[in-house]
Amino acid sequence: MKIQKLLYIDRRIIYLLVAIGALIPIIRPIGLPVVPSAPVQGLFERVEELEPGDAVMLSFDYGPSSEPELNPMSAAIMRHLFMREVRVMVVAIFPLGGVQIAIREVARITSEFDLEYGVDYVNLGYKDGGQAPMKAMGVSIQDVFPADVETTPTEGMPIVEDVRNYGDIEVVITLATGIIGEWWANLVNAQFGVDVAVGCTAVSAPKYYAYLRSGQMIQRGLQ
Amino acid sequence: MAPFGIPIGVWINAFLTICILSFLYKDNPFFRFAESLFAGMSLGYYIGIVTENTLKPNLFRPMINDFWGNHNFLLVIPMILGVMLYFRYIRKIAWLARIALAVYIGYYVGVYLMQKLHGDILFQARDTIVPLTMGGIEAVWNVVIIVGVFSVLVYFYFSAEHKGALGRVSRVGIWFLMISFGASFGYTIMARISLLMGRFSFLVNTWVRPMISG
Repeated sequence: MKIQKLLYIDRRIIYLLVAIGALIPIIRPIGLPVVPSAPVQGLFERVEELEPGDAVMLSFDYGPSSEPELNPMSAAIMRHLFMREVRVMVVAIFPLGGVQIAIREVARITSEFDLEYGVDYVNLGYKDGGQAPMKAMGVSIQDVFPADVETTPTEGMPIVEDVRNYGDIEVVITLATGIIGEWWANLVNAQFGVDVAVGCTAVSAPKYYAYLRSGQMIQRGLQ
Repeated sequence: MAPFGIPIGVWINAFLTICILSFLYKDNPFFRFAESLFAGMSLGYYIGIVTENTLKPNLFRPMINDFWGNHNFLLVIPMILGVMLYFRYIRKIAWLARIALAVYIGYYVGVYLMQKLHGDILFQARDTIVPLTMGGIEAVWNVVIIVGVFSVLVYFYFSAEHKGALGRVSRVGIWFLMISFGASFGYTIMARISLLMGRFSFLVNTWVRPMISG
């Protein structure tokens, strides 16, 4: 059978074909359309409902390996939030690189707007422990983050004084790799009743459909 | 130092990327070097970030600045438990590490149990109890959900031999599982290709293009 010969193709030829397929649109972009899906539109509308001065928590829960997928999402969501004059608290729960990406991306996007650090936004940095800081922020965000990412005490920062816990937050948006998006949904949404939106990598997308359908998430990624 | 006007960091980044990709041809010392470097740096980075972002602001500074105020003296307990975890490397007192580990596991079991109950079991069970009386395509999907959940549960029921009616329902469950795994695999391929494109994008746009254009 001729078709069975396909089984014996050297895997390196397949790698080469995949590499060519991936390289062509980078060398010469082919301009494929980007059409927002219904869940993405849902998050857009949720952000549109926010009033100026409302608070949103944005969690950078991914490392360098997920940057190609999640950086465009973080830029789009930050621009939208700042355009709506929403106050943004940035945190990072993923240990390997999340906080570095947050520092770089937050600096890049905030430079496009006229914003005051500590008033309109704050980068609280990374906290170890996964679910432990997530749960503790339900009581006091300042207790979990006594200092921001630059080790400046958060005491006295208007945004941290005003936004004490999840009760003062309208939406938690996580850009998540692996299981962290799930934690935000089944811990923070389920136990504290805050809207949770997850921008996830494609690997995690199928399992998040269940959370999206059950109303535990309002978004599952910018598709 | 910037050969061809490109920062040295970009050269190192490009070199290590090519070292990692070289594994696709076959295993080689360059790949091994980049892999070991990545593992070592990740561990070093993790230790640094935990010290700077968690241990210093949440443990050391409160205890140094105001030991008796704001109940900061209670931080001694988690600090001792944390230190006890490393007793496992001292044979004579290695058993003490188990106490700290037990507290650690106990805490996370408590958090995780409620998290799963609140977030997964209750919500997902509620979402499985769907109406069949509505018309249109929604009713069809609701039937699919009910049949899917029931048949997959039957597949994982191992207290009786899967034959007869039980076997037939279980085979339907296998189909549902296979379709689910297929969807996951498809998404995984998509994700891996996007990671590859991220690296290629770096190599082409940040490394090669500036070198050619001078």
